[in-house]
Amino acid sequence: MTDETISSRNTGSLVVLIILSSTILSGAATLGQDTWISILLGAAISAPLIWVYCRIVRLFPGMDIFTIIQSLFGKVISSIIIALMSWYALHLSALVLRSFTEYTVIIALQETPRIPIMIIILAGAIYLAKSGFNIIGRWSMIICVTVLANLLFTLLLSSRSIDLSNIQPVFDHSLKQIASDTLTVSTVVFRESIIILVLFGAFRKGDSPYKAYFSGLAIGALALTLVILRNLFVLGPALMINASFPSYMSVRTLYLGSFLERIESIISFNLILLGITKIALCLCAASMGAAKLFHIKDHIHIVMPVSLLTLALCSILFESVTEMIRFVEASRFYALPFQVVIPLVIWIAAEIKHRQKTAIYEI
Amino acid sequence: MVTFAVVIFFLLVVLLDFRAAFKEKEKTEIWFYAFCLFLSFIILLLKSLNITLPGPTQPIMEALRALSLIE
Repeated sequence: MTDETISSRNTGSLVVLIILSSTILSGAATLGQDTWISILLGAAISAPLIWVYCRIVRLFPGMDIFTIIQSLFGKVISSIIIALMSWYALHLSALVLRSFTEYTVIIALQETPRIPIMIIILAGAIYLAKSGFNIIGRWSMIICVTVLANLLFTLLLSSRSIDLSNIQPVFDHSLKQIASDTLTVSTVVFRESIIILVLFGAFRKGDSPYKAYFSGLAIGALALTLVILRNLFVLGPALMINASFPSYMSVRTLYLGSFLERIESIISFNLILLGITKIALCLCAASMGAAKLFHIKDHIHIVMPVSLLTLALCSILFESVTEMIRFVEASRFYALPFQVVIPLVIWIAAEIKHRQKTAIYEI
Repeated sequence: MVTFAVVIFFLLVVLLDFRAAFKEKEKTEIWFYAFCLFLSFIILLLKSLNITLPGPTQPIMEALRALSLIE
């Protein structure tokens, strides 16, 4: 592989970016004034699984998830698991690309065909993915600071438009509804950070994966809750549920006279940067998986062909936006094997192997 | 117009990236690249001509429906 390293701070920034990039998804948060509860509960129920992700890379320092899989299982089983995880990364990159393409079409370029927009967004992601982990890490740190600063800026500006009574009545939804939404949020917002496990081959020695993941989770969950609360206070629960992109809509209502106009472009700026980062990371993951499967030395060599597959998959993924929104709800079941079952199997196998190794050393 | 954009994009990919890969890279990489290039070109070309192609979403949704996980 390469001599590149990525620090825990940069990895934490990537976790924040992955969490915040899900603000574009319509259909993930459907509880109106109770959405913030499902966000916080989603973060809480994702924490044990994130601990599992950290534990896996802690047991095998300096190894990415695919190398860990190869060292734990036989040739056939490891190939099957790597193929499944590569498919997940490829599918996720296509899903994210499609979400951001739909956003661009709905918000700004209604008459423009989707394929050229996909190509333009993907070009940025390919360039980032080909630049290597070190650059992705540094980029994520800069983008994280920019996005959080923009978020604070819009929060301050919206202070005049907020109506705090929009949060009432709290717990208006049934426990079943809250649990269902929490599960969806946990799947599409927090557990997608499993994709970061591919970076741990380049993770800086001595840095803690727990610190990277959990600091990212805490900051990401807090920032996302603030975004949801801003949207809720400005738009109200009904409008927030019905709006295709509530963040864009809530910032659009801000008015600062003729001094500063069209502040909503900040939201588009944020989302495109978040999208490019997440797609680049997914492309890296899919390329690394394919490189392991086909015994290719450097995954950077196959980023381009994998990106072409993403582009093709993205174009045939959904017939309409409605289908895309419906898939968000279904993804909590679809993503379960990739985000929960496979990591748990890897963790159990890793613990067994680690104990056997320790026992041999003790003898 | 979209078909034209797709053709130009793939032409650029072949000229700027695939041709270089052909000279430098290993056989497996070239075969993998050629396969992905061909497959994605065909899919995007058909899509740009407004030909409906089956995607993975419908089978996934139908499988989840068959398991009664979604309505």
